[in-house]
Amino acid sequence: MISYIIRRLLLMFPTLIGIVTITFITIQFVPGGPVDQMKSILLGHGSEMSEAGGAALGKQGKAQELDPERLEELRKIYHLDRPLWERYLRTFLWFAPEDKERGFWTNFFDYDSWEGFLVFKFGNSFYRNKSVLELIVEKLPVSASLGVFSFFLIYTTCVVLGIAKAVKHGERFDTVSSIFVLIGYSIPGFVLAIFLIVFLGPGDGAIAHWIPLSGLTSASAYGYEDWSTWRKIVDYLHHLAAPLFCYVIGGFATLTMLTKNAILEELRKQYVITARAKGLPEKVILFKHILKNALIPLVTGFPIAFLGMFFTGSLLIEQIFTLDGLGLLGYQAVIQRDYPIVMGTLFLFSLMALVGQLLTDLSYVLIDRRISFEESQG
Amino acid sequence: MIRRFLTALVLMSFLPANLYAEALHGLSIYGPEGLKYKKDESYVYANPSAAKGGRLTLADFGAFTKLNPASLKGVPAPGLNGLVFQTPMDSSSDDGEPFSQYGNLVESVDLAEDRMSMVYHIYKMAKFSDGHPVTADDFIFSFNIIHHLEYHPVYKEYFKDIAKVEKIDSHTVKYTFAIFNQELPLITGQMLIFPKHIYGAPGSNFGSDFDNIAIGSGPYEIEKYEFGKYITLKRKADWWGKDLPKNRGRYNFDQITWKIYLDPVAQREAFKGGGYDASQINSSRDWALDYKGDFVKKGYYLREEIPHNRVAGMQGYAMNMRNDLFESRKVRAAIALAFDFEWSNKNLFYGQYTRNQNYFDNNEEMKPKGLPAGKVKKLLMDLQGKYGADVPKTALTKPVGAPGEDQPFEKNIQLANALLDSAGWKIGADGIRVKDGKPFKFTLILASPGFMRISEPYKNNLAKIGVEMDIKVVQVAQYEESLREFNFDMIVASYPQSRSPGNEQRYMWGSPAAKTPGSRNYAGITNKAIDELIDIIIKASKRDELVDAIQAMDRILTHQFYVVPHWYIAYDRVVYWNKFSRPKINPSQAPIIGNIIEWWWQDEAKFKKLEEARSKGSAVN
Repeated sequence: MISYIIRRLLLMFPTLIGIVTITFITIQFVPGGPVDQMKSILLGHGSEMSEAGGAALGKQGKAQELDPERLEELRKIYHLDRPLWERYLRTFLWFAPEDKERGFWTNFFDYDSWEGFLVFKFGNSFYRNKSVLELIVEKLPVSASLGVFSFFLIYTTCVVLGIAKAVKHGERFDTVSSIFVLIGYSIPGFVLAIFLIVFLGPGDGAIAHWIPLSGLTSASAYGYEDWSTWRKIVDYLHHLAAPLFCYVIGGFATLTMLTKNAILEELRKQYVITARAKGLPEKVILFKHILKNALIPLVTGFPIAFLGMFFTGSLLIEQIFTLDGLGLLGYQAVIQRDYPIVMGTLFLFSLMALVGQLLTDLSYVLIDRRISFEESQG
Repeated sequence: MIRRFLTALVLMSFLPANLYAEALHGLSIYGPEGLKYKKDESYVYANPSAAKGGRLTLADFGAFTKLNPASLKGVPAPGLNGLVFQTPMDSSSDDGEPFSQYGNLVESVDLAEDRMSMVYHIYKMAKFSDGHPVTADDFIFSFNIIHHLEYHPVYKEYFKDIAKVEKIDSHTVKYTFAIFNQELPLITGQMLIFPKHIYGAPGSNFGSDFDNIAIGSGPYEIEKYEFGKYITLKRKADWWGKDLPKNRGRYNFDQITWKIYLDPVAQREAFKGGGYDASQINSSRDWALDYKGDFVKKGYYLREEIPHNRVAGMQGYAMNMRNDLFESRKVRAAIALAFDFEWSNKNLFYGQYTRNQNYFDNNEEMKPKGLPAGKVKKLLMDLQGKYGADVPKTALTKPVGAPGEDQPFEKNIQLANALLDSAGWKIGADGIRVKDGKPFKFTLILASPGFMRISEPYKNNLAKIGVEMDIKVVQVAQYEESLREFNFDMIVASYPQSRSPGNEQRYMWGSPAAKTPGSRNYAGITNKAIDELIDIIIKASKRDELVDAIQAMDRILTHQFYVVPHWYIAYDRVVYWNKFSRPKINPSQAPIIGNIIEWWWQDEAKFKKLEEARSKGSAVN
């Protein structure tokens, strides 16, 4: 078992290196890096993007060309003055002692002398004075709020609903709930979000004013500091309700159907018939015997879902409800060509996915004693 | 008295006598006569008795990430420039003076007669928000810090011709310039002044975001903020500059908050519910179809079109004459005639736009009227004598205007066909015109997909005159590259203009710029008459000299049909909640939201009425 885990962990290296290498190569061919963008700002081309002329909208910029000296400075700030191979190696592992006087070995054993993904250093954003990790931490409250609540909402609802549907298979309750779950599944979250904002938002065209539109709290309101903790919690939940609703609405269908079908499948099995034959009540059969077997696929999906719930991101929902979370961070990083963020988050999330996958596989062993990796590897 | 004398003595030791003119309270590009206001006058667009107090809430689109207004990385919070941090001088927005600045942090200024150096006398009472006085050291620090690697390159470029800043005494600094440029003395007045004892302290790094330490000398300080969510500024009750004449009736709100929105629909709905107080609308569709609900009918918030007289400049489809398709003026005229502005304005823009008639449109002073007369006529005749066809005949015999305006569109199409016929382009078998075996086909490249719907009708109209236009939307980076190398047939070009045209004209229309990669001479204009006029514009030291040359140049540009003129909007579209009052005059040179922040005030009577009406659900009367 342990040798299996070690083998799997070692196999992650080539996968991760492959992912980062492909991204690194792609980036070299994509135009529009930070230096290009600065040129564009100086030339004032931004104004051409709007419908009516820049001048008419009050932007009276005088265009300028970027000085070669400035250009060199910029390249230096973004480390673009270094050769390609060095930048590539720096991404993974690079020895850059700050204090050269200190002696090689002292530096060698100092964590601060190293940079690169392999020592979990992801560099700084091109456009913020923050490291990639700091930025991820900054966005976590939003992502975790959406993730944790939606995780519990989806799991509890789906398991209960799935069981109920399996028990009442083919009855009216089953059909009606299926329709609702499938409608939810087919509505894109962002369309629902716009719909909610326009009809239940603060505007004068709305039917009712239920939805606030300012991030996760009313912190910008006058006197917010003096609110009681209780009021702040209610305020937080009030702000979270609409985005959470849009976020989870599509998530019920898969898990509900999975639960229901798993139970239905178990119902047909021999041991259920045996249990019935020996006169056990239906409830005992369902909760003691069937559930244990039927929930295996659900439980094994748990590790990934659990890891994922803190890093949930949904670009459009975050944007519409002004929630500055990981979805937006990733999107803006790609649009603005913030390569450290692109590569850093890609590396981290790939790593998490790989670890999650490993945990999933291991959980099979825990749940189902019939599975053994040693044999299959032999 | 003795101190004054000593200062004068120090001054004299620095420079030979008589070099400085009299100390002035402001600077104008046209010398002391250009200053409209006297030392103790307030601006005409101020109401000195405006009530202080109240709160203003505004929206900002897109998250801000720092409180440092001048560093390279990140997006600065709104309101930092002017409200928290100050510059030495304050730009006048008065329509009566094109480019004047008055003391903000400085009491007076001495400008050398050769305009190669100047001295600022800093207000002795000026203080940063932590109580520290503003001194010459802060001015010098703020200049030197520009060379910091992480100072924003836009400003580095802007200030690059200031050679050095020296201390004369604790409240006197001298600026020396590297080159002669009329605008340079005024440019010094636009540099942000940072406290040296904070940002120059050991261990502090200018590239940082200023988290928690935004200390400036302005009327407001930061009360609270959350990156990417909101920021609230609080008015300093004891601000050192509150009694200066230029600040009377200014900065009236006790608190100003910006809320951040990341989605336009959410932002719009939030306004309509009173989530924030004022918004400028920049979409013709939104203005025509939205902001018409119950609350506006009840008078809770107001819609207003406020006319402005900012120079509209020129926006249009620019034809690249490096491609010989567009070499002939006749052909360019035909291409321009095929654009049906009236139709587009009615069907696409809800009639809100005005056609660009010339290159300095929407400005009473600079826009050429009627036929050329007086000095402008003489200039044009002389240039025509010298350079012949570079000055087209119609520049002298016809007024400026968009090609084919005031004429039925069918007639323009006829005219365009006739022009192309006479230029030797014959209709080929497939309906596309051909000359010397080459079909008349070209590509319009766009950076914004939004222009697709606007350009499709034009494409159809061009087909009517046997010209095939292909429309391609390309990635921004690729677009930049094409523009830089002039590797395109046609683009949407915008040439913004200020009220004080200068050096930048060379960059837009000058012959050398046609060969300089990255210049704004997209059309590839090489016109000797224009080159000569640009020289006059740059050297002009009197306003009328400048205006004459601008008008002559404008007439040539317009009649050479280098671009297919587009449109501009002659008013600001604003919505605001019905609780403010404002001065009689709106200085329309400044953005309207900026004017609300600086010059409007909360009107208690209106505020109460609105609150009452809202609680009852009735209309405000």
